[in-house]
Amino acid sequence: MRQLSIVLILVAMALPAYALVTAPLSLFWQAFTAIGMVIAVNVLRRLHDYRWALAMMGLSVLASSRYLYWRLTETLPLGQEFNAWDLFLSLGLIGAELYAYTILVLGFVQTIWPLHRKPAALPADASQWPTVDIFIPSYNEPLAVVRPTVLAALALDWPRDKFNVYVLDDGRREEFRAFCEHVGVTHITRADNKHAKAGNINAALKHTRGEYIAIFDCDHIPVRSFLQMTMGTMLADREVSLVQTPHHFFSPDPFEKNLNTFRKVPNEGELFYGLIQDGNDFWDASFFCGSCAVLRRTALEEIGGIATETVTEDAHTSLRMHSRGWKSAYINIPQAAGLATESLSAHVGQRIRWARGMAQIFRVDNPMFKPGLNFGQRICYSNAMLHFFYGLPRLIFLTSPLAYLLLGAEIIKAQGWMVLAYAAPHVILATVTNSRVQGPFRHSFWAEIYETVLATFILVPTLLAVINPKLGKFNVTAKGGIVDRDYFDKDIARPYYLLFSLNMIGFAVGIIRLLAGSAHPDTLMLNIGWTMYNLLIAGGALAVANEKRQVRTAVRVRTKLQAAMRLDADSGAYLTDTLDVSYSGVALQLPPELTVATGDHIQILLMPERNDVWLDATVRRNSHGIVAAQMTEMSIAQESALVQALFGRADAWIQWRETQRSDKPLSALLNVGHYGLRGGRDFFQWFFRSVFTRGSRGAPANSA
Amino acid sequence: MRAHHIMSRLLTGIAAMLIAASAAAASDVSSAADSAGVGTDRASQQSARTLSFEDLGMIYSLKLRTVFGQASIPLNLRADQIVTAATLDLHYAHSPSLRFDLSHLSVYINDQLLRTMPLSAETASGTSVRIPIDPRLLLPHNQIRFELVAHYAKPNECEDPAHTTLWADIDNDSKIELSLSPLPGAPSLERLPAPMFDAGDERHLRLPFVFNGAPSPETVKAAGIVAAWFGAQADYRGADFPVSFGALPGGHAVVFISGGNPPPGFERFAGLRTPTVAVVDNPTAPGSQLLVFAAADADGLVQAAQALALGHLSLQGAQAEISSLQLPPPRAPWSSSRWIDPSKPFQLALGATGPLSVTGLVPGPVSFEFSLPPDFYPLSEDSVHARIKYRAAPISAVNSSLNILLNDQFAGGVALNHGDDHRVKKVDDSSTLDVTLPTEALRAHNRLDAQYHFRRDTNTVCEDFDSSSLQGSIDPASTLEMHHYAYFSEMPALEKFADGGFPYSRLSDLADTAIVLPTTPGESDVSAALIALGHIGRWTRDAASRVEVTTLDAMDNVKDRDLLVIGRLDRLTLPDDWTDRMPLRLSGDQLELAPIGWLTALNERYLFDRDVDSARSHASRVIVDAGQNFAALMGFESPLASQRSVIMITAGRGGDVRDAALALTDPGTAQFVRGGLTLVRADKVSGYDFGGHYEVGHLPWWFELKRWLARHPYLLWPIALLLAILLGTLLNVALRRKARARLKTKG
Repeated sequence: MRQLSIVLILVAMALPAYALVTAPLSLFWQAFTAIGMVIAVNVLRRLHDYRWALAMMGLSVLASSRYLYWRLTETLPLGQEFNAWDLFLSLGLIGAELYAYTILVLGFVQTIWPLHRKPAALPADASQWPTVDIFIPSYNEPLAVVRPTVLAALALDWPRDKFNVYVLDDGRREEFRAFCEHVGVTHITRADNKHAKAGNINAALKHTRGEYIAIFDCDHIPVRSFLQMTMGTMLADREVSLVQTPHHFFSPDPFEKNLNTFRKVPNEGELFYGLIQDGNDFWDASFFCGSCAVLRRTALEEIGGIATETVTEDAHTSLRMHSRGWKSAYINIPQAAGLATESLSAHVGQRIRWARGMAQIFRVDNPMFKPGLNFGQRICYSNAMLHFFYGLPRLIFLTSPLAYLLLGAEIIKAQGWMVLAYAAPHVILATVTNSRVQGPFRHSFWAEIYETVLATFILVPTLLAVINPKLGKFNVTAKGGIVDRDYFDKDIARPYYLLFSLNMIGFAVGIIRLLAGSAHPDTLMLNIGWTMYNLLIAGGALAVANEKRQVRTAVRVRTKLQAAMRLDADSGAYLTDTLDVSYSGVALQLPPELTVATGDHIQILLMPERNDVWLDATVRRNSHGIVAAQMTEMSIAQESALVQALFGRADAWIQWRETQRSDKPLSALLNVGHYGLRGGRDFFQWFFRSVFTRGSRGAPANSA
Repeated sequence: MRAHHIMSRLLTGIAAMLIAASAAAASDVSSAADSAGVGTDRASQQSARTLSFEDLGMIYSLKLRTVFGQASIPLNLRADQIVTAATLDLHYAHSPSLRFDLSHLSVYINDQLLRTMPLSAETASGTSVRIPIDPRLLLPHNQIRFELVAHYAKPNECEDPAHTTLWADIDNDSKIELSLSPLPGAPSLERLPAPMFDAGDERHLRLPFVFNGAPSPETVKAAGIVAAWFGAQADYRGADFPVSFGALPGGHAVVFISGGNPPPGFERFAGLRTPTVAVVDNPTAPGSQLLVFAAADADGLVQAAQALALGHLSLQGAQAEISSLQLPPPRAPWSSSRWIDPSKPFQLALGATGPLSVTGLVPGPVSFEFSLPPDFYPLSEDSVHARIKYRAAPISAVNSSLNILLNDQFAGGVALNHGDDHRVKKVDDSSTLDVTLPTEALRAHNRLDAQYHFRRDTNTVCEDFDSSSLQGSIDPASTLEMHHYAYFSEMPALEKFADGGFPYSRLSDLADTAIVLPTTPGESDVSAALIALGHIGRWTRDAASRVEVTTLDAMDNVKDRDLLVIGRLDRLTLPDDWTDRMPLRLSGDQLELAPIGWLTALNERYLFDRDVDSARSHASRVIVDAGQNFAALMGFESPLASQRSVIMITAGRGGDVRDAALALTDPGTAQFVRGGLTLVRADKVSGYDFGGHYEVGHLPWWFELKRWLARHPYLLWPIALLLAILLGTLLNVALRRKARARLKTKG
């Protein structure tokens, strides 16, 4: 009854909405309407209550629908005065705009009410807690990467007899076997590597019997509260098949590293884990992300284990469990952290895999038609998959004004001012609304940079995967490891050169045409403005491709922890605080009672309130009351203590976002523009150097 | 053909606001001398009449072009007169650069050569020639044709047959002078509507109606039915019906006799039991005839009038009795043959005004006429399509074209390109040209011209070229198609009354129409009512069998009809809810224009770009200048029923309501009747739109919504905001509830 009345109200609102969308207006009145809408949305965004954000979404959808309706009915170059070429280009642009509109609306629906689920309490009696198998699959990662993960997993706050840690070693390495034996975890191997990670987990499932499976990628180090935070939800609702937590990265990804935005601007993943998964949870559509999650064995076995048909087995597995009526949950508290991809090429390679996998699922198990899903799940999965088709639309947006400036094609049959009057509220309202909704997790205009960097690389794999899910296997050489010098990644940057150069030419031609006098200066200026924006975005992509040297080999976590320090086991210990801690060393406040010199051996106890394992270290620097010490050879117990202090604290990653600036669309635009200009400058420097010093490969660029 | 010319006269917009009403009346020697002696020339003795070419529909001079130019004009004659002598007084000029030994101008009447005039250097700048016409050559319908044979080169030299120097113009003040003799016939019903109306007479119809004493409303209704019938016959000519309450005029007339007290000379119609229609000789004017309606009471007169209008009369002898009459079932809206039915394609050939095929280098247009219901309301820009199927001779050059014009406005065209290879082109099937007609150019009566423009191939000047092989035709299968439309009209729209008889013409039996006369109507009130009904009849082309006539004091009986109120302002005492709606009204002795709210004025100015204030000041100036000496038409929504209209045919104390009615019947003045108030002062007509609109008809709800927004564009974003806030608030509640339900853990 209530649902019926809501449906009736929505239908009643659809009528005036239809009229608002389709009413034709003169330029004057459309401009008047545009200004009114922009003012309204800017007032709304200052209001705190969430209902105003919902109103902004409504207004934004109205403005965008109005724009698209006008585009579709008034501006397509149909008629005798236009040729097929104009129409072709125009259909490309309108297709891209329809795509962007679909993503905008689906995105609003998907994130309409982030659920902010709180962890559910566990039964007071720990003997009722279930048994959990902890899977750490690995294929070719070095042991040094896997060690902390295993040690942190062993230190989870859970009755020791109720969980087992399994290293699923598809590399079948002796070194791993020895380590596992040494620390007391099970080393599982199999004869082949069929279906990669999915096959690896499925094989291991046969050897274990825990009611629940927690899965960590071998470089995702869990905090000790992981099971406490997630298992309550599993026990509270027997229909929950999956509890997912965010993937958190304590090292900068290539964007953050190369643009120096680490912990200042939200990175690419934060939108997904900070907002989208939380929004998905509202629709019971949070999906498995391959790591940092707990799965229910019965659910997994019901669908025949992890899905193996696609290269994104995680989302596909969730989709199947959802279609069988299983629920999922998302707890938006970082409960594990890992290293981000080091280089842009590795990052691109990973995203190609995701994009291809999502396109494969879209093809073989389309969520729009798969039986058993509810409305929200269809929307969320579809949007997650459609999102990865941004390659072509993004390239179209980056080149559309060139069709007019360089080829003289009339792809929008309207006068420039009219286009502005219709498009401005569409773009501005979408930006401001997204800033209001996504602000803490994605700054305005950064999506353009993230997408532009990847657009050319995911275009072909996604399209091929849709044509045939078996096609589209592409390998970008993962350079891997530490970026030990500044260099310009020419291979990756090739498409950005092209886009940047083309837009540069378009810009120049446009200016020349403007100076030479044009019959439609407004249309010309509109296209020049658009090209300038595209130049900034392409410049931003170039700036990302300018790889910066990574300074430290071991990642440091800048954390203030309580610590104790002594000279040796017999001398007195003094309490102090750390300044930063890494796997290889630690910087501390020198307690006033102590004096040390460079080269001295000292002992450090991290988090004395819950730890009694002293770490041995050598003083490397000592000045201004700050001691920097390097760890000496560690025992397993010492290493474990360090891992627990570094990565295992329950609150390790919670205050992580505090240093970020909040989003303001205009300053975000300036920010993006700044990187765009920097990329452009780097490009010209590289370009001229290449021209004047023939044969030089990969010109170094200044780090800003 | 004549209708076509009147149309073009009407459509060729004369820009001035004020216009002299001179269009249709041909000067007539005897009647011009004595305006009261109506139609004396049409009967009795010998008379003379002069018709200029302008009277015959030529608003411009006839232009003859190319080596062999042709043009013709029609000449129709009344059937009750015979021509005893005729002379053509021709004024023409021609190119001075012709080879005069090879050039000449010929005149034909009904394909009989009248004379061939050699062209010479002396006649080039203009000359006139009088050509006597043998009256025996003249028929009721005649055609006068002119042919120019002109050359500028010697016989064996190269010549461009379309050279600009090949021209001759025949002035439209050329005249035909006729001496006429009456051809009296015995009174007979068979010839009706002749002799009262003769299709051969292109002039405005002027037909007096005579009553024995002041008529009752029912009697006026009978007269009105007859007037509407004559209006339909007179069609584009327009009709005037002077009224006399007693005295019999000379000439033809219509007489209504009821009761046992007929006027002298009509005693034989006394005491009739069955209603009777008769044609009798006019006792006061020998040679002219009277159409007499006689009955015991007014109802009988109505029955007789209905019988005539419905064509139920047995048209034999001089007298018919109507024993019983069954009215046909009520008409559906716009079901008259006048209007095309927009729900199905209209075969253009049904509206063709001439041949569908044309020949020659500079052919005239292939023209079609059609009438659309005046409240036809296109819902989109491309609601009306003309699908023209055409064939053009393959010999025409590449840049020949076919253009489509709607009411003289260019609507579309096509280049007659028969392919790249000129030598092997073939036309064996029709091509189709689909033209979206500009909806703003549509009116009640429309003309669609398909105009071929042929070009010679200029590369081959000396090639033997026969311009008569340049031919084009329009297939009879060409259609007019209408989609996405409604029946809706923004009112007041006096222009739709002037052009289309709207809103009364909607039901062609006038079942929705009531004429409201002053409590004691005078001769000119009744005359104005009859003229208005004649005007409506012109548009309905049907019997006005269900019209109601009443007086002001009995208006409540007809309150759910569209009202046509007739009477001088000072003789119409109306309640306040009427005067409030009238754009022009009497306040005491003073005339005043209805005040306009500032919001309306703002809206009109900024949304519809209409300067109401200056229209008002112009109107008040006209009224002040006129004193009380003016007539007026005004339209407003009926205070008695919504969606119903009132049109008032009125006048100031010194004016005559007949002038306002007559302004409708002359295309020259009717084009200025518009808006909610039209002032008629002498022969000057000016129309005003003061805003304050109402609407009749229905639009689809979605279009209504759109239209409302388009008319309140400043509300678009506030409504969008309201809607978004409403949505946000609702979603906030609904989603919070759903989220709570989702987080509720299962025990």
